[in-house]
Amino acid sequence: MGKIKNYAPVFGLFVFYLVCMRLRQAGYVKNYWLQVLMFSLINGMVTLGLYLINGITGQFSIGQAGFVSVGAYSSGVVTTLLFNFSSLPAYGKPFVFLLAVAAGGIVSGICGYLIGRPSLRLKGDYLAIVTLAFGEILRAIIRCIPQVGGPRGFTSIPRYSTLGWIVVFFALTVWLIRNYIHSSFGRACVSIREDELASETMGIDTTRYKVQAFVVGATVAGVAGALLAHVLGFLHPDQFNYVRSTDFLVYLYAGGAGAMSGAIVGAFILTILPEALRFLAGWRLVIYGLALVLMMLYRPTGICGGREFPFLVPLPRRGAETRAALSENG
Amino acid sequence: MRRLLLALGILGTFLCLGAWAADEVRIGVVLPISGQAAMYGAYCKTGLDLALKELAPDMTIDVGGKKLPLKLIYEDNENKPEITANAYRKLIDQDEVAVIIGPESSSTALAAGPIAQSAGIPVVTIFPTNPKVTQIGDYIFRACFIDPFQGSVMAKYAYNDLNARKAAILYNNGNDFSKGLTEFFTRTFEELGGKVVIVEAYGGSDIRDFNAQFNNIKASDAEVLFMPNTYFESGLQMHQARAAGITLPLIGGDGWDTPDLVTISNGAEEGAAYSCAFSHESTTPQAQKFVEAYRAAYNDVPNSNAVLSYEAFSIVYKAIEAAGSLDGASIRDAIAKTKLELPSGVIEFDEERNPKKPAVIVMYKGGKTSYVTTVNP
Repeated sequence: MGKIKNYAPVFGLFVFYLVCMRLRQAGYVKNYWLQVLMFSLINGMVTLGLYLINGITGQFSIGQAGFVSVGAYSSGVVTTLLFNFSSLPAYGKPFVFLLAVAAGGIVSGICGYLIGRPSLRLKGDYLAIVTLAFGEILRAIIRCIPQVGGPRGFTSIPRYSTLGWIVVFFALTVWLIRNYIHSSFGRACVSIREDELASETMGIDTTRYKVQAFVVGATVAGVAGALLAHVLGFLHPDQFNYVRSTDFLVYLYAGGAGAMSGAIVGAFILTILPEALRFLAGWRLVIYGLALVLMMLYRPTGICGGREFPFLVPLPRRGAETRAALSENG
Repeated sequence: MRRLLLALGILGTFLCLGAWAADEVRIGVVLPISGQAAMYGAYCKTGLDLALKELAPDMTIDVGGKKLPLKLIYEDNENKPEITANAYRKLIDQDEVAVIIGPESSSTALAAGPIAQSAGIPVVTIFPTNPKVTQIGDYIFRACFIDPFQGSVMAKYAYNDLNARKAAILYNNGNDFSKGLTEFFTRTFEELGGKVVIVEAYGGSDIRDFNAQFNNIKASDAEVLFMPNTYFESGLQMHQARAAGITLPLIGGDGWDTPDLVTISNGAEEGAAYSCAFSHESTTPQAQKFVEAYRAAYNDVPNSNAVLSYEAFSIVYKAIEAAGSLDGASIRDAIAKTKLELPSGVIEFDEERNPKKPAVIVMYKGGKTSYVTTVNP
């Protein structure tokens, strides 16, 4: 019984996907909302990566869009410059696409390591400054590379990501982050967040765990970027400026930085809300901003307030964990 | 948790809104209504509103002998590629529009264009000057001219009218428009027999100090200085160039074409010339009629954004009438056959779906723009 329950979220996601596709076939759900859903899932992935760095490890990274752009551009290079995607036989496409997504994640992870290794040895706000600078430098570098379009933008990337692919990668991310948090790595990260000095005294290699969490967060952002590149089919360096990084921070804190559910719900609601408010025309971003302000005033712990969806906590820990999280954020 | 479900429920009801009457013509308009480019969106809207008032004062359109109600659906794109893709999807899937007008910039048009192309919905974009935009496919048109044309127009002006043989360039290498104009100016100028002796670049629109670049330019033997940058940067540059003792003639592109430039350059713009789609002093009757109508409506002179969106709407409106149906392919064919006398000249599309239309050269005199000459393609 326990085994089946363990896999319930996977089934749930699969059923969700099938329902979406069925509704689309029947004409109830338009491609428009499926596309918004795809963006929500991608933003959710990036926010989950950020949650690992900011929420669990207690570091402050504000350059997540930089990692998204590394992933997006590297995967675009694989599908357009290394392989001529459109001339590939149909059976080769999924492999090249997976390779591109993997390349996005790996290159972004390497960047994460290169950035994190020197700056995470320090305590305090240095990481915030370094990550912010990283994102901006990256934008300047991309503009100088004519092969990826420079300031004119990277065109003709195959639009190959479908809802199916994105759901699969989203599920993998959730699974990865959940298990990471509830493993010894995650516990070490939480101890660093609570008190770095104390955890060092207890024999935890704080730099190592911080860098590790940072690299995982960057890799997830890179994978999300790769998926994004193949949804849009076009990339522009200004798409990934610091304003975009702030968006991800807002998703995380509005959703509730104390729980994975917060990261997911925040990214979903705040991606869907501006689209749902389209009927307000010129007022939509005003209302969107107002909603954010009111929420932070009346619910500073975020939409989820540190509570976790039950399936995001491994079975043996259910109950105890949520109570602990509640008392901590309460 | 219950509150969360409630919130999702409310969201869900919004999603279901939007059922339309069957017999009407819907045109989608995608503009930056909020965000950093909101000013351009506002200028575009004035042009669209004026065209609407002239062509369809009763909000109807003649389609195949039947008078149908006309409905414009405005969508904000915040000047962001992803949001533009969402806006296009919404207009195509949910509103089922016949044609889309906009967006206003190249990066947003490049992200959203393929969606319209694969759905078979014709698009007339307003101000994306990147040649790649219409190469997306045969459903994508534009109302403006492209960077290569403008760059070469200014090169010819510098070579033939200013008699310059050596040119200096100061450009923003973080801006595609600036980079494109620089490239094509250089190509044409050197083809004509001139030489670009010095090229100075700066990285991004947040740079405020250009003295290092101007010192190098001053030390060169250039006879003209080309600055194809946005109005804000150019305003500062004109001021600093004159302060640094540079007396060369200054020339630029249609990034300068806004009344806000002189408030920044503060007198330093005197004698500077640039190319743009339209001058309000242009002497054709169409142009004069448009300027009069615009002045009466907004008590202001129209800038390029206003003219181009006026023309984009006129092209679309006439094409739907000519097609006599709301079928995407027949509207596209009608747009491709466009031959209209509009404020900036007689407009026809070439096989790349770029308009064949003239550029005008305008010069700043006494804080105002004055018409110099028209350059035909």
